[in-house]
Amino acid sequence: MLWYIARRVGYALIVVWAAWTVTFILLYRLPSDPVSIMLHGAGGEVASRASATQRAALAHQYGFDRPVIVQYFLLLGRALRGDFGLSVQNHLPVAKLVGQALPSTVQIALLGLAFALLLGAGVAIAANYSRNRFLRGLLFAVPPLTASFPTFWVGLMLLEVFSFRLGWFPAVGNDGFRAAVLPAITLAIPAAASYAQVLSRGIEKTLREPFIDVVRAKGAQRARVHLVHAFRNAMIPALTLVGLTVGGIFAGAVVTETVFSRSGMGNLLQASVNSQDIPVVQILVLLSAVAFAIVNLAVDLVYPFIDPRIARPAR
Amino acid sequence: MTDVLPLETAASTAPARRRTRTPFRVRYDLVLAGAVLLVIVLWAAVPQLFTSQNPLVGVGAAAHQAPSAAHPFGTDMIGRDLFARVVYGTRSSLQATAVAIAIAFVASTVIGLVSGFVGGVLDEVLMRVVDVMLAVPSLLVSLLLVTALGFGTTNVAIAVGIGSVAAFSRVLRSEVLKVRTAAYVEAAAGTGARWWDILLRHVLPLAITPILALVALEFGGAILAIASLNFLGYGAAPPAPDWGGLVSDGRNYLATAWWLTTLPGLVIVAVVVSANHISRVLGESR
Amino acid sequence: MSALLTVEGLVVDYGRGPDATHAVDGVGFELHEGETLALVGASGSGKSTTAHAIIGLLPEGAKVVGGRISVAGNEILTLRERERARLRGSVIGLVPQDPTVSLDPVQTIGRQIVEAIRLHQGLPRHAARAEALAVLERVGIDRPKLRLSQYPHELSGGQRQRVLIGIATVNGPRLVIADEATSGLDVTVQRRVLDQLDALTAEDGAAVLLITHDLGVAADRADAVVVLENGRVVESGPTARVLGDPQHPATRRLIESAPSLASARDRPSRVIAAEGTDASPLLTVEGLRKEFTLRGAIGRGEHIVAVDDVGFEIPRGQTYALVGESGSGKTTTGRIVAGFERPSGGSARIDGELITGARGAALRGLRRRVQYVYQNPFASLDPRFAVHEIVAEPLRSFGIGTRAERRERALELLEAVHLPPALATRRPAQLSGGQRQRVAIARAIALEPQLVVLDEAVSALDVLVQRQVLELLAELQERLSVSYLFISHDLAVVRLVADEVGVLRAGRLVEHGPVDRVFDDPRHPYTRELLEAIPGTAAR
Repeated sequence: MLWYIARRVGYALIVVWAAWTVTFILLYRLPSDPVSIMLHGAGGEVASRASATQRAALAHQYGFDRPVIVQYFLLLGRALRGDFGLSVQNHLPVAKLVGQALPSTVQIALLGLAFALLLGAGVAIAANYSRNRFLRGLLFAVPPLTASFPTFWVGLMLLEVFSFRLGWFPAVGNDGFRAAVLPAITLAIPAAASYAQVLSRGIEKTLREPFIDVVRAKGAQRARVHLVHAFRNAMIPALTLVGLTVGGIFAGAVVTETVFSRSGMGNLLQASVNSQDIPVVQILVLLSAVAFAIVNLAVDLVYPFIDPRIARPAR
Repeated sequence: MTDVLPLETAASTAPARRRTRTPFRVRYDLVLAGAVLLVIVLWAAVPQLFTSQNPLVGVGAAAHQAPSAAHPFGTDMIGRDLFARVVYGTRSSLQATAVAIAIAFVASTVIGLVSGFVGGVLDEVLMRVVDVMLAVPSLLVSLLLVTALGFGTTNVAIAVGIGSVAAFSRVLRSEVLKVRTAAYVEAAAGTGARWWDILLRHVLPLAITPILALVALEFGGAILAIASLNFLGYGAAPPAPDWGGLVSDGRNYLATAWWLTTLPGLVIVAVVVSANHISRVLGESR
Repeated sequence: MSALLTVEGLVVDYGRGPDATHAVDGVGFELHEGETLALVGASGSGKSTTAHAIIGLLPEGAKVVGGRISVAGNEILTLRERERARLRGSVIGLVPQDPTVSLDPVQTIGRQIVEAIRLHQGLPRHAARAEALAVLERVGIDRPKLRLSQYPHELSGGQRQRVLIGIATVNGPRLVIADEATSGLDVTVQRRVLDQLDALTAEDGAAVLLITHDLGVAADRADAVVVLENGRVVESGPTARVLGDPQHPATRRLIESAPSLASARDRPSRVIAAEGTDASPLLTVEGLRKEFTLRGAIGRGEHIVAVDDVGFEIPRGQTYALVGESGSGKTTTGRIVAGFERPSGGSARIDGELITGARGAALRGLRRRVQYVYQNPFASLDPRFAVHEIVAEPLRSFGIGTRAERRERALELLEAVHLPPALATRRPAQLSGGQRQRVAIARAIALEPQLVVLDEAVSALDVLVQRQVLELLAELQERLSVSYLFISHDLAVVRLVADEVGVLRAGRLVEHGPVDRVFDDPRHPYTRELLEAIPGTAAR
């Protein structure tokens, strides 16, 4: 078991390191000249007017005047010490900018995840439990349909109906729980759609397994068969999916925060991409890999408790 | 997949032919989904057949009108016909989607085939790289690429294409593995068939439906991703319409002109739902 | 005395409206306390459907449309679903078909037994757990305490079936339904499990309804037999009477084709070696060894020796059978001989030419001489190809004949395996299991190979079809003087077809020799154990 945990933690670290490397390659090596991009990003016309000295100073700061491999280890070394460089846009430390943006995004992400899990599980269980053919068909058909909605459009529709027409929730802003509800729902809808699909199909499949006949032959009633046996078995593939979609929730935050004009990491990323602020973009993207690694580590560690076949393989 | 097999591997003496050809039935859902996609393609090819309005020049007097017979999608704040803008915006959206699919497909087919057929260390290495790519959501990979490459429709298309390579390599590899390990593929080798014969006669025909299903799925996904990037403002420059940009433009009039966001959004939804539905039906028909 | 179980005029339909077919069509019988009744018939005869109707667990799409079922005074068909659920487990117990898929994989054995107890007895949790331990002891599982906290995948098939018997009988049901409860198990395990079931039900005086396709099992265990065909009862009565003096042709067919009841005399006639033309063996296998490395999710790889120093010879035109229980390495040996897998050590030669280690063109050349027939004909036939294309594929691979000639030859091959030419344009999905296996055999003999490896080639088939395919194989052997490597877990079948037999256990050949010698005078204790466990000894 200890070996298993060690391997999973090691794997998570490798994922983060590899993601850092990939972002380094894409951002610093792909375009011919990151210095121009940074200067260009720093404000319209600056690039053309930038003096050779300015360029050289910036190049030196990021180590662009040295061989690629040296640059790589220079930046990696700084990153390991927690130094992620300065924002090109406003010269503030990247770590500080991200730190300010984090809480607001974490708030809607967690709330969204909770909504998604409740909604996804609820729809999946109801779809399979219902004996009404129409309701059943509806509950099976809605998740794939909502999965086809663009996130920004869902957000705008929610705004239009619940803020402007009904006035139940504020349309913009960061203050308090009420302002977080609509963004969280926007984030939850695509995630809930995929959880519901995987869970409904999982429950449906499990209910056709021969062991369900044995459970029923013991005298178990319908609710027990569905909840205690079918749902628990169907949870296993769904759990993997939760791990995979957490990154997606963060990506959704970019769009959602733009729609709701909320500050946060998504909004920061959107602004940074707009100004081609390379250091900030790199760290934000890297953070999504970190979140992914942590959540998947957690999922991997929970797995043995849910699926005994992982913890104790057959002899 | 397996539920298509008749349940009689332990078969009966009776001539078990209950599953003879079912009479051909029109699948209205497929017809509808196909029709939606056909109309969209026609919008892109010959937009002038569908609207007589000018998508770029507005009539000041007609500004801010709700949908009517003259303007089925209403007009925007400077009096441009929204329906015309949606129709004319189709070409740019579809072109970008085609570029994205082409990139995603060529790259992931190569990776998937190599990984699945060669196997061993190469498979191991490729799949670890894919795992890392999967750790970053495809939208963020696209944003990264847009930052590095710069803005514009083409760059957005390239970014979306590359962003979906990882996920599709995964799926293609598992399809390849499924086919490679099918008993009848081994049985064909057992008859002495050469490997290219096996590939052409047994593997490809089996793989063609899942590949089409995947293309349809990728089509829907790419439309969504491109619309999102356009919505965030990284796509076409202002006057030229594209779907994501149209919704974005309408944001500022949410309280007063619902049609500006709702209707272009609905067009995107209709296209994506159709593509996904076709993909699902193809996926199930195996 | 009134019967414990009464079934009258039972009709069960599959499908609805005009497409509905009667799976069970007017079945009726009675079963008294303490008795065992066997419901026998070929697959599709309606025996399982009848059993499921009694316990109220019909599959989706099946519906009782007529008749009456009464169990211990309860009119099953008029009860509401909730009330029926209450009878299940308390009055009626079910021992299911396949123990490997019949326990919830994510819950411990203990929990699953406790669930069965607590659903019907108002015991507190710890008392139920103590009772569960007693159940495991009663069904004769070793280390019962450990088993309580284990998961199904950690137990063997036989152990799982014992757990299921424990669950079925824990609340002292009046009726236990055993639905092909031991068909998937190896013979030795099968016998022990059936003994256990007998003992438990005898203790409580419960009645047993045994659903089986194996007349050997029925002969050994049942007081009375009901024979079903096409959803109708064609014959019923005391076991000795029905099996000893069958009246209906369907019963006679079942008895004749049950391998476990057939004696060696019934073996299809065969040539005695190939008139001394060439005495050298066709296939020589020496010191064969195969190791696998299993990689678990946790921990490092585990080394498994699947085949360990196996050696044998097959003379021309003869059949050599490899028998063994699951996991004994018989399939791996067959796949190595057919060139699908490489051994870790040792060799297999056909006519002196090395099979093991051949690659590319050499391996392809060997395909003309060695062919392979799979257990599951459906998976090994490309679903999109027509039958004649499948059969002609080997000819096409080796560029033999024109397209028209190959088609002609395909029709000849179909005739050789007794398939009507009308089937030539069908796809595999439109054939029955027996027909598909004939197609696979036709494909295997298309190149007139010297050796055909038959990997459990008749195991998935119904007894009647099995018998026909075995006859076909014997006939082809005589005509083409082909040799067979016949791989099977079923000793009764082996006795019918083999000239020589090798017994594999855990990768090693423990005994081999001429089939009559091995069967009549087994030298290794394991062979004896296998032979004794063949059901149907009582009727012979």
